[in-house]
Amino acid sequence: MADFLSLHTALSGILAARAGVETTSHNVANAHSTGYTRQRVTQLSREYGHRASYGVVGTGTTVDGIDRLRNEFLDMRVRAGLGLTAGLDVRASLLASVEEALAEPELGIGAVLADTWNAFEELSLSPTDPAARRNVIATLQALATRINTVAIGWERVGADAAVSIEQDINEVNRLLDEVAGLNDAIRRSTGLDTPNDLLDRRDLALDRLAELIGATSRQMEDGTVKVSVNGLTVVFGDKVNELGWNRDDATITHPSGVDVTPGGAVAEYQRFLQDVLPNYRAQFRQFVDTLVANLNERHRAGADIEGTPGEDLFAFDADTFTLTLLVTDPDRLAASGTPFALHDGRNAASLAALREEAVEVDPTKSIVLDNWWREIVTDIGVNARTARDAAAAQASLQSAAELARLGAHGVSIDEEMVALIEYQHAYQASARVMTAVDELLDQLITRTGLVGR
Amino acid sequence: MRITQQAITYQNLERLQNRLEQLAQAQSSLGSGKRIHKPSDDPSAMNRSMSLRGLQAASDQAARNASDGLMWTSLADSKLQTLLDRLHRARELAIRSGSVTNDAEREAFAKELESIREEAIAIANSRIGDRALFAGTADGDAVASDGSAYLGNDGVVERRVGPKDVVQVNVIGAEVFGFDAGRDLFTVLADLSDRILAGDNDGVQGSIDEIDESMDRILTALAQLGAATNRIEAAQRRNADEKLSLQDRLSQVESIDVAEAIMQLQLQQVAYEATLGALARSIQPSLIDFLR
Repeated sequence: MADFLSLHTALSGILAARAGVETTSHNVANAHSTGYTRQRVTQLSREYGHRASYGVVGTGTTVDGIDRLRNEFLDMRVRAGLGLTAGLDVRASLLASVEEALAEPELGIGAVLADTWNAFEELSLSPTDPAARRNVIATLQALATRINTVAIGWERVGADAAVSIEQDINEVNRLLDEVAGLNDAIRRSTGLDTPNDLLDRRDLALDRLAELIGATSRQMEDGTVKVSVNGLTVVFGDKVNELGWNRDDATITHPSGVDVTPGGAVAEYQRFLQDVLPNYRAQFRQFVDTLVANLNERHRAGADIEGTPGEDLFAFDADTFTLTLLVTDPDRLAASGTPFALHDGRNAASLAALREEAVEVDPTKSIVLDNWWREIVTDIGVNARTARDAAAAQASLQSAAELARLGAHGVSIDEEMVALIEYQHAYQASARVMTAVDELLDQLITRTGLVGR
Repeated sequence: MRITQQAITYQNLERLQNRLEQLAQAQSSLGSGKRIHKPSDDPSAMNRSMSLRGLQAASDQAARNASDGLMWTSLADSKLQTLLDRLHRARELAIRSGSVTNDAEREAFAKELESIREEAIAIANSRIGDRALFAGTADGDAVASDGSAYLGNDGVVERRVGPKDVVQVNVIGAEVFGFDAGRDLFTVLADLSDRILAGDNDGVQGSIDEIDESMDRILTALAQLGAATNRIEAAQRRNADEKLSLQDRLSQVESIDVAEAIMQLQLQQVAYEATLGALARSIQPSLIDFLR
C-alpha cells in the first residue's frame, strides 16, 4: 500500500506547485494593477501521516490557502495622509485661482490705480483739454472693469468649489454603496474561500474615501468594515448612510440630522466657501467701498466745465459686487475747484492726491489706498505661498508612505520569477518522484516472481 | 526595505515630475527676465515691487508736471522781461520829453508810448496753449483790448512737482499790472502820453514815479517766478535721481540675475537628464532578461 501512497504524495506536490504557478502568474498579470495586493500560496505538509511499523510516514502537501500580503498599519498611515494631502492640494489650488484672478502685478488693480491718479493729474494740467478728459473717463472705466473682473473671477472660483463639493459628495455616496456591497459579498464568501480580489477593490474604495472626505474604517469580525467620517458612521455592514450637501451654507448633512465635519478634499472646499472666500470678499468690498466713497466725495466738491457741481463718479452695488461708472460725458468731469474758473484744475489735482493721502477706513485706521490694495494682494500672496509650500511638503511625506505601502503590497517581478522557477522545479521534482514510483511498481509487477525462469 | 517595480516607477515618475517642474520654472524665469510673476512667487518682493511701481508712476507724472510748470514760469518770465524793457523805454521817453520843445517831437514820443502801451496789452494777453498766461484760471483774455479792465480772476495755477511739493507757477495779472493797486499800467502809459502831448512836465514827473511803481510790481512778479523756477528745477533734478534709483531698485526686486538664471537652467537640465537616465536604467532590467 505504501508504494501507492507515494504516488499520491507526488500528486499533492504537483497540485501544490500548479497552484503556486497559477498564483504567480496572477501576480505577474496584476503587477501594475492599481490597488492590487500580491498573493502567496501557503502550503502545509499534510497532517494525516501513514502509520507504518517503522513510524509515521508523511503523505505529502496541501494548499492551505492563498494569502493576501496586506499590512493594515501601512494602509492606515497612507489613508491618514491621503486626506491631508488632498486637502492641502485643494487649498493651494483654490488660493492660486484667487491669486490668478488678481492678475497682479502687470494687469491688476494696482496698475490701474496708478493710471487713474496720473490721468487726474494730467487733467489738472490742462483742464479744458478734451483728450485729457476722455483719458480720465477711459481710465475710470478700466478701473471699474478691473474691479468687476476680479469680483467675477472670485465668484467663479467659489462656484467651481461648490461644484467640486457636489461632485465629491456624489462620488463619496457611490463609493459608500460600493463598500457596502463589497462588505456584503465579503461576509458571505469568507470561510468558503478567500475573496482576495474583493478585498483589494474595497481597499481601493477606502483609499479614495479617505482622500475625498477623510473617512476612516474599522475592520469588523465578520470581515466587513465600518466606515465613519469624524465619528459619524456612514457604512455599517451592508447599510449605507448617504451624505447630503446644502448649497446655501456649504454644510454636509448626515441622515441622523447632525452636520458632518468632513476631512480631505471636501473639508478644504467647505472651508474655502465658508471662511476664506467670504473673508477676502469682505476685505475687497471694504476697499472698493472706501475707494468709491472718496472718489465720489472729492468729485462732488468740484465743478464741471459748465460750472455745475460734480456728481458721483461711481455707483457700487456691494451685494452683486458691481461697480458702475456714472460719469461718462467728459465735460461732466469736475476738474475745477472753483465754479466757472474754466482753467482751474485744482479739483482734479485733489482727486489725484488720493495717490498719497491717507483715507479713513474706520475711526481707528487710516491708510493710503494704494498701500491698502498692496496689503490685500500681499496677504493673498503669502497665503497662496504658504499653502503651496505646505502641499509640497505633505506630498513628499505622503510619497514616502505610499512608497512603503507599494513596497509591501506591490508585485516584484524578480521575486515572482524566482517563485516561478521554484514552483517549476517543485513540479518537475514531484513528476520525477512519480516516475520513480512508477518504475518501482513496474519492478514489482512485471519483474517479480521470475527467479529461475 | 522591499522594493517593487511599481514602487520604483512611482518614485521615479515623481522625481521626474519634480525635475521637470523646476526645469520649466528656470526656463520661464529666464524667458521673461522676471523673478516674480505672481504675488505668491515672493510675497514680500511683490509688495516692494508694487510699491515701487506706484512710486514710479507718481514720479513720471511729477516729471511731466514739472516740465509743464517750467513752461509756465519761463514763458511768464520772458514776457515780463520784455515788458520791463518796454517800460524802461517809456521811462526814458518820459525823462527826455522834459527837454523837448517842439510839438512834432512830442507827438512822436506820444506815438511811441502808444505803441509801447499796445505792446504791453499784447504781453498782458499772452497765451499759453489755449489759455491766457496772466488771467488766473479764467477763460478768455487777461485784460480788455483797450487796457481798461482786468478780465481774469485770481485763480492760482499749481503743479505738483514731487511728493507733497506743490508750486504755484502763475502770477496774477491783476497784481502784476497794478489793477489791484488802483493804478494800472495801461492807464499810467495812456496818461503819460497825454501829459507829454500837453507839455505837463510836473504830470510827467508823476508818471515817472508811477512807472517805477509798475516796474517794482513786475520785478516782484519776476522774483516770484524765479523762485518757482528754482524750486521746479531742483525738483526735476531730485526726480531724475529718484527715477534712476527707483528703476534700479525695481530691477533688483523683479529682474533675474541672468548669469545665475542660465546656470540654474543648465543645472536643472543636467539634473533632468540624469533622472531620465536613471529611470531608463531602472525600468529596463529584470530577472526575465537573464533567464533562458
